Amino acid sequence: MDAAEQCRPAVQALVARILRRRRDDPDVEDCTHETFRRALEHPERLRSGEPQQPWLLGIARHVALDALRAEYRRRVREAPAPRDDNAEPLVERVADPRPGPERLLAQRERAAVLRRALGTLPESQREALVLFHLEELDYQQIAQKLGVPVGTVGTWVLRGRQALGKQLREALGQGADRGDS
Amino acid sequence: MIHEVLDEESLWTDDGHASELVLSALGDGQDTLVPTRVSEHVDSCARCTERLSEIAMLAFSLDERLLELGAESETEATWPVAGATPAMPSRPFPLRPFALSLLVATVGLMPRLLGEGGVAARLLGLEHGGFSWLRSARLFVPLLLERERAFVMAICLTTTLLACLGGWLLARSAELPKETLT
Repeated sequence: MDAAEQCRPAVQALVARILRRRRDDPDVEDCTHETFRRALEHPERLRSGEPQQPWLLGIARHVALDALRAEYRRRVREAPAPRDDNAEPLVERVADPRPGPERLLAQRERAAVLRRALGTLPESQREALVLFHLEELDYQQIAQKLGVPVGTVGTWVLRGRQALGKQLREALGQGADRGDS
Repeated sequence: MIHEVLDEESLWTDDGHASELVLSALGDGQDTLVPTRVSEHVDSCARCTERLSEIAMLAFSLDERLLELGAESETEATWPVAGATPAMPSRPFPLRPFALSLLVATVGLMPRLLGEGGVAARLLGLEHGGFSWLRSARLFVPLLLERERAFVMAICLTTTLLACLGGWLLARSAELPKETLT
């Protein structure tokens, strides 16, 4: 058996834990295949003498996190809008892909809650979150911009998220941070 | 460019697992900040990968919402400020220009108001013996109070209620978000 194939169970296990699925789930299988595809495509990235399994697991972590993010986005986009019995029939809405008024209202409500929650964060945490999520800077760039150590940036991002997540859960219900709303 | 890494004391929890800071950094794709031995532990530890998944999910959900909010704020060109009420952009009433324009208008009207046969004279009934409406009121009000006390009370009560309702609506409108008013 090929050395890489010997790592397959460990790769599957890691992907399954990150995706929170069974090992035989098709998404876990897809991510496992993608991991090996990337490894085969760039074998030069494995430094000579370095063991293969940690390298493959590192790739698998990235692949699984990408898949988790894609799945989260898909769930958010496909989440049903709040039901309105007086709304026009589904057939009449099919032609217009724009979000309906109920969804817009829900979005605005969430945005208002988030804006209030952001307003309660310490300036440093808010700034770190905005720079990371909206300006798309990495920790290192944020640290340089704000003149603080990179570990401090990581702490601000982590604490800021935890505080926002808590406030959103309290304001919008338990499904708030899982995209169930 | 020299990449920093996270401080040694921030890498592990007391029970030998990766810290939340490490998991958050890995979830954000900031692998270069995490020493290889720590990321290798995460990849082979069930508890750490499950926690990584939870932390990453929170980051994804906030990322979506912040992007939503960012798109909305671009159109409104306002960003949240600590301690501020986020509902309406503050536009102070232009009191000075308003007062000045009232003053100019009043000065301009003076000759018309106070001149002989002017509006003020006509309103106050000065042309017909002065303050005739005041004399009528002095006769009419006691008569009304004496004969129709309940009616007068009802008018007073209604006026008070309307004034209170108006005040409440004004106060409420100041609290409503901008989009509710448009």
